[in-house]
Amino acid sequence: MAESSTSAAQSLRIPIQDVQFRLTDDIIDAEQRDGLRAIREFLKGKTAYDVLPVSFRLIVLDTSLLVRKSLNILLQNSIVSAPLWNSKTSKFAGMLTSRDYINVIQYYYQNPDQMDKIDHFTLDGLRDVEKAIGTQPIETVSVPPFRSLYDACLKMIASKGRRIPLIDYEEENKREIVVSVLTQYRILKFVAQNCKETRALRKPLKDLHIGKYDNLATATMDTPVIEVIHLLASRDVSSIPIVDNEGVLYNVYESVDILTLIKGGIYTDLSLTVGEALLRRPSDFEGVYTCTELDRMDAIMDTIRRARLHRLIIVDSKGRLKGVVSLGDILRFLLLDREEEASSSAESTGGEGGGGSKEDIKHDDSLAVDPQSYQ
Amino acid sequence: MPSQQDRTTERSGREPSRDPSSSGSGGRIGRYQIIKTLGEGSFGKVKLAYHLGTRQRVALKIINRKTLAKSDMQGRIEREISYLRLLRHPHIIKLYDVIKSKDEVIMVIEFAGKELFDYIVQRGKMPEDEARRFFQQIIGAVEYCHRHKIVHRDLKPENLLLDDNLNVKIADFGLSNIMTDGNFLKTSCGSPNYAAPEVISGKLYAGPEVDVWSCGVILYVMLCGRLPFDDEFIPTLFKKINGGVYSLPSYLSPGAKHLLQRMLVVNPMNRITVREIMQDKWFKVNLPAYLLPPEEKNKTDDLSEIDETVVGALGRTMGYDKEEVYDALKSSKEGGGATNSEIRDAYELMKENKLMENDAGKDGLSSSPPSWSSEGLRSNPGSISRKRNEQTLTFDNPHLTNALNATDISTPNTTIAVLPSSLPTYHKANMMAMYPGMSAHLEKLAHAASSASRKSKTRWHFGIRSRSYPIDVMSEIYRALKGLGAEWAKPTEEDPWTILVRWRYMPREPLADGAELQGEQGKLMKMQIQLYQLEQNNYLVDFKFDGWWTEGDEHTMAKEKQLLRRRRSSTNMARSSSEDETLSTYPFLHMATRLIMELAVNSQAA
Repeated sequence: MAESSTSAAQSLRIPIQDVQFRLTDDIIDAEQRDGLRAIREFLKGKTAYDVLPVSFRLIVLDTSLLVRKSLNILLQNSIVSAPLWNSKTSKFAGMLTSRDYINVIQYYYQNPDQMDKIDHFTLDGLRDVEKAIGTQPIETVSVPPFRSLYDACLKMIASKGRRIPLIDYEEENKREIVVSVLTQYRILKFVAQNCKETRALRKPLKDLHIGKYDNLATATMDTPVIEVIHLLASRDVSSIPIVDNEGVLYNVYESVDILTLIKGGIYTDLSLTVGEALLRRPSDFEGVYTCTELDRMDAIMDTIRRARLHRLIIVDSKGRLKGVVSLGDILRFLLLDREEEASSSAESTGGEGGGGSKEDIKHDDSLAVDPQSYQ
Repeated sequence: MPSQQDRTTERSGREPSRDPSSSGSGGRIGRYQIIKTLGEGSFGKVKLAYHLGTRQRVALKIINRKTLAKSDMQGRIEREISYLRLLRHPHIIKLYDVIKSKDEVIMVIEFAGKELFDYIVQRGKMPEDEARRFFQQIIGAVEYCHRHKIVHRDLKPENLLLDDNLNVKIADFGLSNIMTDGNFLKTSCGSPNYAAPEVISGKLYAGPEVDVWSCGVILYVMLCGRLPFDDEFIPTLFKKINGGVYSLPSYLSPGAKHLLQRMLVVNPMNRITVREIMQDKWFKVNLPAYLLPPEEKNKTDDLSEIDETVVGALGRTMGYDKEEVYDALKSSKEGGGATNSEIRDAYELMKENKLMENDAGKDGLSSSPPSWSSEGLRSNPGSISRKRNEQTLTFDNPHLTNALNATDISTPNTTIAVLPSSLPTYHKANMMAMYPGMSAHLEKLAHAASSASRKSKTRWHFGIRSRSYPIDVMSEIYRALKGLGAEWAKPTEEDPWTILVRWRYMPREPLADGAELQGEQGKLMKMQIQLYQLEQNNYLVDFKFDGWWTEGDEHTMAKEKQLLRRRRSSTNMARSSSEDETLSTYPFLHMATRLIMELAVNSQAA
């Protein structure tokens, strides 16, 4: 157990084992509460702008671009999302994400005879695709860069989005400016790097009641990839765990994997199994992170500080799938646990099994900067 | 550098004219008479030879330069090899000399006749005390190398030799650093039983943790007489390694079991470190003091402590200039380029060598080939041994922590890990094993992925970089602007490096008679061109879109210069209010491209 608690118990000279135990639990509880409070204060004291690197690159796509070309641009630049700009109205026009390509695939799947048309879709036309397949468009929320980071997080949580664009408004000539995009991963990493209070979060996952454990959508290696894509869309998650017959976790299909699958505008590879489709992954894919219910939030935050992870898949000691903790779950925990939990509309999004996703990290990359420069 | 080169030429001069590697028994390389070929190692042929003067037996490791990493790295490789010459540890095969020729690098190394694993094969599993003695020697050597920033990466039976006193001698330390990645992977695929999960998964980063894993496998083999991970079918073997699936025989003592369990941990971040092994209870039984890391010496922050003789020796062995060494040592720990840190590493290594020699009270160590036998040390515990006994095991060497940074975890006891089967290499092996008949199809899919992810890195530049004089750059820009028919405001004296330009936007060349101008066509675009200094002799020309020309601008343009530094002042209101129209970045990009092309043409003509 934690050093401080042991020494506290000793100083109180309570030798009895179980008393010490209860005391330890109480101390951990109290410290976690203080820790969360400190983290929230930290988020309130920083602006969204503070998270940005000193120098970074931002790729904004014009909505008159062809969908096919937009995909190439994302892949060439190793990013998985981009803000859109409507040059007719001079306005920010939402985010292009892997979700849009999933919609296009589904559209194609429902209307196989429309193949020629797909090649002529522009990004403007994506809203029509959404309508045609009857999906809800993702709400376009944004925050001004100098809003507090805490507010930005709340707004992102409420919107169900995994990233939030920072849009400034130039008073001088009344124009919107896309400043950057904050992802869940980037924010969590910022907290992990700058907030030593994350070390006070010593409770294991099983006591935190975060993540999703029941009714998880899964697939096996033989599942056709198109079914997995349908699952991603219908469950509104960013990843589908791939297990064997015994439920042992082998891999995860992420919504960003779609980009490499349909690269070059080829939608024919949709007949592959998900196992085959995963061979398409870039060879530098860093792997799926797993943990058990016994892992503590401080360890998770420390891992986020050091590694690019998109979610943690919870397994048991035999490697069997138990649940999924998304970056969104972690962010909600940091902001809303206990105090605002009940009152927030964000709680309704608990169904999302895979918050952040690789998209965030990749995007993180596109901000070509050393995050150390923030410390 | 000069002394290094001199020596090389001298050596080549002495070499026999024929290709040394093709020489059979009876050939000569430099001052060494070849006796026979010992075998073909991972890095080339190995021959037994003796020194013509001293009759000392040595092994010659003949490395074909073609197998060395990229040719543009040659200089670095030679430095690396020179650095290896400085390694001095009783359980590491010593590199006595390096002979270089056009096609080959020949390493003259200590000869040890037996392999540890022949010994195991003959005797079967060993008693724990005996295994521990070997293991302590191995860990001692590994710790020494890690402390000096060298990771072996390929610890396996072939590299563990025994001298006549049954002391372990590790061969090939540091060689993986100088090999191309492709070569390294190929050779390690020969015996992946000892390779760590992250190595077979093809992770690019393979730090000191990989040696810990291999040492764990070696310890297991010594204690159990068999491999912890074995299978004839490579994908299955990979699966076992990546899953960390092995069994611990019941006859092992709890201490040995515990240590093995801490070493054979799939996630490198959770694996025990060498430093922690040295504090392990089972490990510490009968641990000879000389295997412990030396007391933390005062680092070379202080110039007054720079050891003249060490600096001199550095010049002789590594070819560094004295001034170069002083500069490197003076520069801050983190600062300086790669060369500086190289020099600092080498300095530390030599200084430790010197201290060891002084402490041991004998100076024949460096020059005479016979190995520093651990017997001798035990019977002759010099001052080092006593000093080392006193120190506690919690040492904190910046070099070591540096090298082990990746393993430094502040929150222990986590089970957070990367799922091995999700790594692309392993997934592929898995798929191959599941669908043996479809390997060609699967191979094709995987190939498409790997070839595509390679080339996709784009380098980004903003504006144009130039190394010309700023004045010349500016006149180039003016010339280009003039060529393009743009107009500009006369630059002010206080800021001659910013040009305010106005330029008619005509995306399509000559407009047909009577055609109507659309959108922004025909309008005057405003642009700011500014020259920045990035660093000494390196300038950047930056372009900035400054809106479209309106009537009100007529008066402000001249004044705008002064307003630049207070851009957001309200004097610009007149213009901005009239600018509620649409804005596209394309006209600007179009114009900037034209200007860049004009500049490029001019600079070629010049």
